[in-house]
Amino acid sequence: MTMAPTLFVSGEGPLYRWHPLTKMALVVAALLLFLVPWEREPRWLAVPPLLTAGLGALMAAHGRQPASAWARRLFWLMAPVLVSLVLVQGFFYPGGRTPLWHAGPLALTREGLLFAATVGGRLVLAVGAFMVLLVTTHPADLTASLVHAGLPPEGAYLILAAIHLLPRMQARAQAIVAAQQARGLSLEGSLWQRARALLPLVTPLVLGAIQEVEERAMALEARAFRAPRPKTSLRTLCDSPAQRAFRWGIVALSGAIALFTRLTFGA
Amino acid sequence: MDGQGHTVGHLAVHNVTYTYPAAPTPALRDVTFTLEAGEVLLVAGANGAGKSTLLACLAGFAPHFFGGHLEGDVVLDGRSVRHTPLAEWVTSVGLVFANPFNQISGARLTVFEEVAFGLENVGVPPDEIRRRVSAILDRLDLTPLAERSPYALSGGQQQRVAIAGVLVLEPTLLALDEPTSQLDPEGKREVLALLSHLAAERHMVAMATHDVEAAYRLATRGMVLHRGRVAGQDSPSALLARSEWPTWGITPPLELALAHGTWAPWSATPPPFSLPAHELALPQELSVRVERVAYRYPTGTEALRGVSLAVEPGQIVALVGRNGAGKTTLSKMLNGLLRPSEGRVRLGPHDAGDHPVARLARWVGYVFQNPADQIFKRTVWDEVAFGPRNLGFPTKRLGQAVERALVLCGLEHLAREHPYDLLPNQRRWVTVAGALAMETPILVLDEPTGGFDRFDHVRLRHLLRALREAGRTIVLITHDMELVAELADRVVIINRGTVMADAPPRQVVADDELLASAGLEPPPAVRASRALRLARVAHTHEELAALIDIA
Repeated sequence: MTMAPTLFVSGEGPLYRWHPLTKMALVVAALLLFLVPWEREPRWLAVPPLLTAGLGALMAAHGRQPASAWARRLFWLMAPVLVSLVLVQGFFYPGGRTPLWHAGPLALTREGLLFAATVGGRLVLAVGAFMVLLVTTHPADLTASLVHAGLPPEGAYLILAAIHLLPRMQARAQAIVAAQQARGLSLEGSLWQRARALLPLVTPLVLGAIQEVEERAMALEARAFRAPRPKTSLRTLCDSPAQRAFRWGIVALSGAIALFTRLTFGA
Repeated sequence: MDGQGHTVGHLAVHNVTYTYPAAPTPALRDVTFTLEAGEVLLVAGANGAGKSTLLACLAGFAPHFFGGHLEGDVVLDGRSVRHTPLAEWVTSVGLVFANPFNQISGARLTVFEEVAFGLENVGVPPDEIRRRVSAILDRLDLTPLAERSPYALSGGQQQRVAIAGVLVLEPTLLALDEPTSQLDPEGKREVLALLSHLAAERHMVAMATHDVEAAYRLATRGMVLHRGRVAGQDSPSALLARSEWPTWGITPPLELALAHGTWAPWSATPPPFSLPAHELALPQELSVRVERVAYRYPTGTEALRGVSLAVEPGQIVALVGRNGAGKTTLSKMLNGLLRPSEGRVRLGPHDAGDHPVARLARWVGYVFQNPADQIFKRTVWDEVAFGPRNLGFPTKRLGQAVERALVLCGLEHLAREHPYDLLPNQRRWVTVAGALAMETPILVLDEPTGGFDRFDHVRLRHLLRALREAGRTIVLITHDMELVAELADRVVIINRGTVMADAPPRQVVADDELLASAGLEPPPAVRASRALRLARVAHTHEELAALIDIA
């Protein structure tokens, strides 16, 4: 038995009723805000975390379960990234001039921390918006909306399958490590020894995935996935002129902010 | 369908010869037969005989999906597979294969939506989808699962959902390729009950399986394939009573073979390898002692509690029980892949807790369930040599160990082949050879018989017996109670993380209540001796032969 490989959490509320494209517009808007030169003004650095907190508040309004799922997944995904950003940029940022703390020959610099905060804030906001989409959107609605938006069904399925196959790959990776260790493969030792151990771990993962893909493709064919006629859907997507206006509006707004700030304050 | 769930139709297979792309010879030669609505065709044969290829031809995947070259034709209700695109053909022939997990679309969250997936793809209006899905779930007793996630089901339930997912398209023919081979006994029972339901509804079904014993009663027609050709076609009972079955690589139903005097125990077949016993003996023998072991997963779930177990050199101990009972968790403690939360594991004088996994690999060889989780070398020889190389075998010993393991596993002629070019059962033998070549005094085999034909079963039995005689300590995890009854010195039933029974097989395999509580079934010899009302219950085929001779 394998757990459901999806990030969707059942719930009710406006976010669940919104058309997936509306939530995708949030993701696009967050990505456009990447272009804003937040580092030009230290006070601006608070904006991405505040927007992320806004997303959190929006999720919280939809109940404890979806909100905690959103927060948990965001935390586990981003915590390692943020820690490594702070360590790498804090100590090794090329433009670091103002040391705040010394660890032997290394210095933690103000400029490095600012850069880590800028990049980290943008990433958390974009991933947070993406998590809102995945936690509150049924996978079937996501594919249907992508197909409605003009993506071929195969492309839409590919996106879903990539998301769904991640937990499966994780479970297989664990099984492969166990199987190769049981054959005497040591995962300890020098860097060279560890690098050599990668081949017996990665190759079965890739070969097994290729084999599985063929079987999955056959299973899809057997379910008439490539039937040459328009598909229908059990699920109905709610769309409205207001949502369409919101979609264009939020993307245009963040695009305009990005453009204005870049033109005014430079990169 | 005729509106009452009964299929109508006529299938004609004319002189079909099929060659896979780049293959030098055809996988299927000159196959001809017809099938009518209401007929259930059982396709039997050894691995590589052409069973899956035949079903792929019926379902249009050969040649439309695989490519390759098809001669002859498959004609269903006047339509030729040669001239019908696959996307259309699949609405007339539904294909279900062995692995239930890989048949889940991954695009739907509930069983109801999963079953509806095919109807959405062919553009059926939503109201009609709801009606047809509800009807099929009802007919196949799946309604209670309708709102569950397909991923949260057992293997048997997933396979029933997969069958519902193609049946909802109302195909004329349902093609099933080894539909029970990856299921535990409970999953098999569920799927066989569903198939018996379909047979009663007079569906047209073609089913390839090694589990002839379980499937032949459902079938109205039988076909045996041998090296790509039809070796016989008849009613299942007449076909399976024929004396050629040992050469076909199938195991006929015991009562049929007994009734027609064609039956012979596996031990009557000479070992397929000849190695002097001393070549399998090792300088070191080690016992296994599991002492009051408990194991809790990081989530807090208790997988094992208070488990104690002893296996001596020269013994085979079988671990049996339901999926998820804790068998694999227990066996992974022997080579340190899991460490007990309480208690300890001793291998001879060594405490397993004192050694890393790479060190324990010198003492414990482990054959995992899924060969794809370990195979990575370009040749069979190198793959088998991977373990002993890691253990630092000198060149001469390495060569001898690998060659010996290849001979024992019937792979000597495939040593230079790429493992991924082999049949699935041969790949499984590659993993067995890989563990044998490590020359460990302790050997753990986790479900080694999946997808095995008669030839493989006979080889495995001879191999295990030879290893036991050479003083190896063997732990066998299996659902195959026939194998347990014939070879195990003791059988340990694990149920919900505890030892439910630890006794010689003859005290366990005929105890229906005990077996049922662990989701197991008595072996065929026990069932046959009851059916024949013999004076006492035979536990193995040999005992049955002796009892019948006396009678």
